[in-house]
Amino acid sequence: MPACTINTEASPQFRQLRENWKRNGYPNIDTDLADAFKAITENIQAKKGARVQVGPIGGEIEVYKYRQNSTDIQRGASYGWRIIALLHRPTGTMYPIIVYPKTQWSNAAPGTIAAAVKEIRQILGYCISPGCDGRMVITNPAEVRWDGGLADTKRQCEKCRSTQWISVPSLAATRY
Amino acid sequence: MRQQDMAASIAFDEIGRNADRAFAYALLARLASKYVVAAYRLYGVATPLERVLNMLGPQEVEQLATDDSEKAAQLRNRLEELHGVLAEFSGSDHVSTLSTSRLPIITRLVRRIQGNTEDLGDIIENMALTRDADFASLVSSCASSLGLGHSGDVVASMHD
Repeated sequence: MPACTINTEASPQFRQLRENWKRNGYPNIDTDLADAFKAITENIQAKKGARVQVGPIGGEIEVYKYRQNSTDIQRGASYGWRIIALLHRPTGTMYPIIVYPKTQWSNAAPGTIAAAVKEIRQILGYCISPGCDGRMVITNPAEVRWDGGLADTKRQCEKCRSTQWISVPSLAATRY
Repeated sequence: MRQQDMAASIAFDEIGRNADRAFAYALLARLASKYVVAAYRLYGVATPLERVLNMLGPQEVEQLATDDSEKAAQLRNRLEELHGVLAEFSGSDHVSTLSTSRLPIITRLVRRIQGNTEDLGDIIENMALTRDADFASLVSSCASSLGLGHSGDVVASMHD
């Protein structure tokens, strides 16, 4: 079975999502991921690894999706983590880029998945306006409103200029 | 119709027939109160479901995910419906009761169906991700952050 090396630190998006989930109900995520990466290092098809076609990405890069049990969910692999990773074939290096808990995608309907992708994009600070791939930044001057004890900050897309009130805790001014 | 398209069309028909069969037996299995009837109907779910999964290898999944024909769309919908009914069935109290049966065949069939339902869910997720422009954009951004090439191809494909 093909093996690979895994670089878990290279992707800023992956680091941000991992920290987000760790702070929001999944304190054991690092242990869970270490378990997955150990198996994937030995066999890229471990952990139900499947190649996902994302446009004609082809060439040197392939996209893989994995599933891994979550210590914090404890309901089997179907309710655990989903990990999206890029394989750079010339170097045999796998770069995890996205991780999310399955509990938020309780069914596999495309609408649910689209909503989850949107949530991940929002956590990472991307604009969620249709067709826009800009980044959301805090408005200047900053505007904050309180909603049920949570602070919502107003953000504006650098590209399409649309604004959103965002209360996701992990969004707090994380920029890279 | 090209030979390759014809082969895909025939394969879609066969997958659809097996999905229909599994779907019908899943509905019947929900109503089975007697263990012997339940075993028969669970077998009726498990066998065509495995045929569906066996026919949906990585290449076929990619083909089905990227095919914009009405036939492919219908099959994707059918698979989602099948997964919906199986996921509900797999987590139901009825299945919990069946799992405690002293007939080992029932326990084995239930486990087979539950495992295959998860695999079908993965396939549907993968197809949905393949067709999601926001996901493609996200992956493209991540690839760019890593300095990996070809991310332009992903963006280009989104706007075709």
